[in-house]
Amino acid sequence: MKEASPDIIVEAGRLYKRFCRDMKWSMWYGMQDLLRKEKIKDPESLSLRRHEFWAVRDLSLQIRRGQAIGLIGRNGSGKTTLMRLISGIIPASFGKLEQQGRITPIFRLRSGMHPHYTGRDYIYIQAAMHGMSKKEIDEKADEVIRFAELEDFIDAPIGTYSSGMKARLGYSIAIASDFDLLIIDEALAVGDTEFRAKCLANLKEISQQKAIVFVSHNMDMVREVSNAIVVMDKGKKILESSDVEAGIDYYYRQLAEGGEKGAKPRTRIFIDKAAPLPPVSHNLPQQPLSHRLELISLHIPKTAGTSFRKILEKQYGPALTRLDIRNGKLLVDGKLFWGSSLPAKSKVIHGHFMYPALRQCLAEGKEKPKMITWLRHPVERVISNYYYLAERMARELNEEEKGLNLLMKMQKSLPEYAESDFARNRMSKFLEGTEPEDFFFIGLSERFESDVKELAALLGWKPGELPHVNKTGDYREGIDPEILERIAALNEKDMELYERVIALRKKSKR
Amino acid sequence: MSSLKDIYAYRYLLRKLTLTSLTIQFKKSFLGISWLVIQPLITIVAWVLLHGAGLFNPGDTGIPYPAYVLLSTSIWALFANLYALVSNALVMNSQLLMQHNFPRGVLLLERGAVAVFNAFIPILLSLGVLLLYGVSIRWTLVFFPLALLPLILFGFSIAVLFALVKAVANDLNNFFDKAIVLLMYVTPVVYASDPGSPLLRSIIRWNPLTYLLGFPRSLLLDPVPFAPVEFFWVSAAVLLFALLVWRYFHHVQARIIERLIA
Repeated sequence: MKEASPDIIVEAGRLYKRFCRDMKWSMWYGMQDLLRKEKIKDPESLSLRRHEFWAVRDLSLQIRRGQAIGLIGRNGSGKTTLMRLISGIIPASFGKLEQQGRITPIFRLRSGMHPHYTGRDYIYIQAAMHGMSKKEIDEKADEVIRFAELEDFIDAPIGTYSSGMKARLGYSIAIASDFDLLIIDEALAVGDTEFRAKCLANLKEISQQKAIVFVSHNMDMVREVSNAIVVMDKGKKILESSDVEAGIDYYYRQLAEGGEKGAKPRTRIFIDKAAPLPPVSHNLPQQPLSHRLELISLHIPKTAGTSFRKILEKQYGPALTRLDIRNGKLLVDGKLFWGSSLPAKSKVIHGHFMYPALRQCLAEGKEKPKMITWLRHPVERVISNYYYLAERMARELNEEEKGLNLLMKMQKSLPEYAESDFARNRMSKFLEGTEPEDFFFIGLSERFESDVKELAALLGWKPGELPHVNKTGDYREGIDPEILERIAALNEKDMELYERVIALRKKSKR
Repeated sequence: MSSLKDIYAYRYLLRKLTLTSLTIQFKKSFLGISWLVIQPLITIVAWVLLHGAGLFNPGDTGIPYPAYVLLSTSIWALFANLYALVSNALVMNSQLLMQHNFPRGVLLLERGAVAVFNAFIPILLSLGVLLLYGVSIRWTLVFFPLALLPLILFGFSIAVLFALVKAVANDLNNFFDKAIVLLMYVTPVVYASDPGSPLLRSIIRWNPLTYLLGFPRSLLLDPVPFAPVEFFWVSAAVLLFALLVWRYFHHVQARIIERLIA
């Protein structure tokens, strides 16, 4: 085994596993396997044999000490197969897989032993299969029996146990093994509530020094146990995040899109088709996407960017691609993007992305695309953003209908919002690493209509009616001047930027 | 060999599984372990009755026929049991195999140990019967267990091959399960080594089981051991065969296990 940091327990790179759906053909391929081992050079260009499919496809994953990964996905998405690969029960068809330390898996499927065995036999045999020595088992047997709460039944044949009792015993044996990684594949699904609660508490304690992969369809349990989440679909890892809630939400949304019957999203708070997906990480391309773009439109929140996007849509049609980068994840047209190049047709991109993140995702070509963005008076922008969020939250919670009035009760006030790091100097954050002079055009949302006309002339756009822009009026009216002053002070950088851009615009007009 | 090292690390599992299997097979029966004796006795009674009816002419065996048959069939049972138990080791344990990662060879060895143990009692029993009939047992008896090793190794290795095949498809096994019964009739088990028919005679001559079984048996009964030179060469070939099979198993098992349906 290669030298690796002891904190990394499993390192999987581009794992593939293929299976055969048809039993007769599987027998035939099995006969071939008896005679020779097929070498796969490039699984993506391999044409699968008849009735075969990828149960796990191009999956890379690292499992580190201290992680408790919730693994979720629909039935048949490859979760158990992946767990079998990681535990070394079946070999991968292709890819790198390195394991360190003891991996103890427990699966839901739990018979397979003679029903006449006593509970005690069961402990010794299962524990020995987890790799424990006789001495180790002797020492821990009583603890196992106690944890499983089976003191009165331990010498009865396991055939007389209920499925819950077997699950309890199986779990207790597994945690007694001195593992580095514990895999629980639906193994707690049959236990009663009380025992489950006990296991969950136990798991939280365990995950401090060890690693856990928790496969389940019970999202409450996933929430309880996990500090990271992986979502699988059709053998692929479609999301990995340290934000468990976001992962669960993503999974529900994917379920809703896939139309699996009976599965309804439980929470709709984050669900908004127009909004980008919740924060996830790790899908940023390893190598910059090389692509020739004509125009890059950077959308700073609450600076009339949405209206501008509508104009771009009219002008460029399918050549416009929405691209967002948020918290280290890249979204193209609202979906997590895993590809290595943008759609061929796209010439223009528009979306929320901070400039440094964009630099990381897009290779710089010889001809630099024109960059456009919009600014707004910083104080005005902060207030607008605040009201936008408040309004949106009220809408999502559907307060009126439910008569909750939660927001009124726990509302974050505008000054509180403005004080947060997140809200301060957002425009400068978006443009970090670039200078206003680098931009082809910087519009001001206060002068949206005239600026758009000017830009249309510069780019030679065909004349068309401008979309109606919501006049929101001046948010500053009626707000305590002291608060306004405070917001301006908090956004000093943005104020500077704003004034600099106004000066720059005047200069270029002349 | 790394596979043997892995198994050594799991030696406790092997021991525990073997012991539990041995006790479990008669657990739910009033007579319990005595079935190990009752079963071979039933067989011998049947043989004696059939012989009394003049159904067989076993040829000149030199010792009382029932005792001879009992001894021979119990040695043959060693081979047959090994095949029956070991060749099913993977299929019967598919659920365990899909849940745990442990050296799969443990399951084969466990089944092998159970088969050997189960055959051992009838063999001891038949020695007692021989004494009852007044047959004097030779001092070469002490080499008998050792001389059985090649037969055990051969039965085990064939069974390992079939365990793999069975994990993929049952066809060959269905055929071979039947063939092994026929095999007993082309090996001098229930009759003396000269059957008369020239075809059968040459089959017996080229059948390795003739020597693997005949030589140890002769250590008990005959003043001169049966075909020691042939036995030596066949044993050497068996050892080589066993090593090859074990190596092959080690290589293919991982990709064969996944064909099991748990």
